[in-house]
Amino acid sequence: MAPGSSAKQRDYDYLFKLVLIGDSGVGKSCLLLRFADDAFTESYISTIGVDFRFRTVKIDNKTVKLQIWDTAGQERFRTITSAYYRGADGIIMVFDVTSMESFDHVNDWLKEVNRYAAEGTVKLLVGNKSDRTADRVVTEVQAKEFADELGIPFIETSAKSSKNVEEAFLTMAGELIRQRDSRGGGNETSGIDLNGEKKAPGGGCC
Amino acid sequence: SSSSTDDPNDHLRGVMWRLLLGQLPTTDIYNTWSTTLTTQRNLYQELISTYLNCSNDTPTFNNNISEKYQNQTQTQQQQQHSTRTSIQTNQQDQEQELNDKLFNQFIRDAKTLMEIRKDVVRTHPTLQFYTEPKDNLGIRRHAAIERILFIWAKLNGNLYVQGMNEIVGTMYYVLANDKSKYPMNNSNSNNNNTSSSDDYWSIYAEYDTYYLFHNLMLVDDIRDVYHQDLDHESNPTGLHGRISNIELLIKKHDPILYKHLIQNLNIDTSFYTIRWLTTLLSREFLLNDTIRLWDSMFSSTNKENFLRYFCATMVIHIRSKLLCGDFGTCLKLLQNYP
Repeated sequence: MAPGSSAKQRDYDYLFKLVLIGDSGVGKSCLLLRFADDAFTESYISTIGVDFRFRTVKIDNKTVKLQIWDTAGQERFRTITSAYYRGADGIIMVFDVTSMESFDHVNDWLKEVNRYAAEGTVKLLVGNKSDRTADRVVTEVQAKEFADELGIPFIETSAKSSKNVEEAFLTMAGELIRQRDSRGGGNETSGIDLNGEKKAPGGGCC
Repeated sequence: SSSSTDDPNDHLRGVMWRLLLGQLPTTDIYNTWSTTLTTQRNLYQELISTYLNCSNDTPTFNNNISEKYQNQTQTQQQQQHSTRTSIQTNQQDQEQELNDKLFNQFIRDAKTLMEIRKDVVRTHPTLQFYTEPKDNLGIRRHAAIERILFIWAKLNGNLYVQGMNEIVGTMYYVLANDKSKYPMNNSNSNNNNTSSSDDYWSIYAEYDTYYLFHNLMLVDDIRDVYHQDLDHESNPTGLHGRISNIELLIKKHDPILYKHLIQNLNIDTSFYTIRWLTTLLSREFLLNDTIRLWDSMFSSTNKENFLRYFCATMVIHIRSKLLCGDFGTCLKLLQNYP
């Protein structure tokens, strides 16, 4: 497809691919459900392989299309999901503030990211389930210190109460815009072209 | 078999699945079934009492075992801190080695059980069968599938992968709702105490689900999908091997659609088929439709082949919508089937 032709058709200024990673059960899918549909459910099911969601947001009068890849947290799928980091603009690493294990594993996830994601991929650390104050075992200070050491922004969220969920994704989107503009890349798409809607010859298209 | 789960012939399903998956012999049913089932159920009971403590609704490790291992941890730590000056005898070394092995296995088991538990509470979370508050039935049913998965994992190198919970959860639902009469009753008059019972099959649902699942995993190497070591495409029965087989079918039967999805849109077939394969499609359809689909799959002489063709057909079936779609639209269609 000629790059010029798609630029005229597209209905966004920026397109970013985000990947959500973290241990099984930390609430990646719930965060995404809250962000994409503004909904929450207690009766959630595990993600197997990868799920996709899309949301378009307005930032400073610019239309930003987010293509979000929600990955399975189980170790079995790690080699498979790490292949999905390719072409990611941003990676959101999620842990559960009520599970020390999930926080300890952030290091392992980070290793995977550094190994498979492109240099310059924007990272964000998210501590989810902040509403469960009685069960909390990872303090905000502790997580913040850890994130500072790594030079990664950190935010605590609650998919249940919706606290900071919007902020987390918008922080990421804002950072990506800043980065792309500073590179002088303007608003080129990266990764997968959402408008790659090439009509197949003789495909019986409607 | 019946085409609808409302069909009165439905009560044959549990027995049919047992026959089709080889849990029960197809010959000489009146003489062999009873002994086969008794042997299987006794063995499962033995496994449960060996590996799990099930006095509560939620299984835990056998208390004696965990106490033993707690002591083990303390001894190990003590040993690590003390310097070993004397030369140990071979026997002592061997004992230590054995203890280390047991300890590591204990840790692996605990991890496996936690992993299973995380998913069991997320299995059919809205189905009344698993949420029934009366007598804690919902919780007890979830506990049953947790035990099945753990015992199976325990005997298969701690293999537990997400998706297995969906399969076991659906099988257990079918067997636990089985109201059929024991076929032996008609001919065997001295079995009167059980013959009138409507729950002859359902009270053993947990035992029999274990064996159904065990047999299913062996059929056509279905369990290879879960083995990470077999992921490479060169293994035709592993996850990626099976995915590329589905892809080949799409390419062969609908090259235009294949080109559209894979070359034009960069939609990797794994994006949607991993879940299809690891859950045997139970996440894609309503429960009753999944059960009906499994009737056909289990009846098929090659279940793997059936699944492969069915998956490819699912994609080709919605070709006109897919051909008009972009990356997002196509993924939504494929991930939210039908």
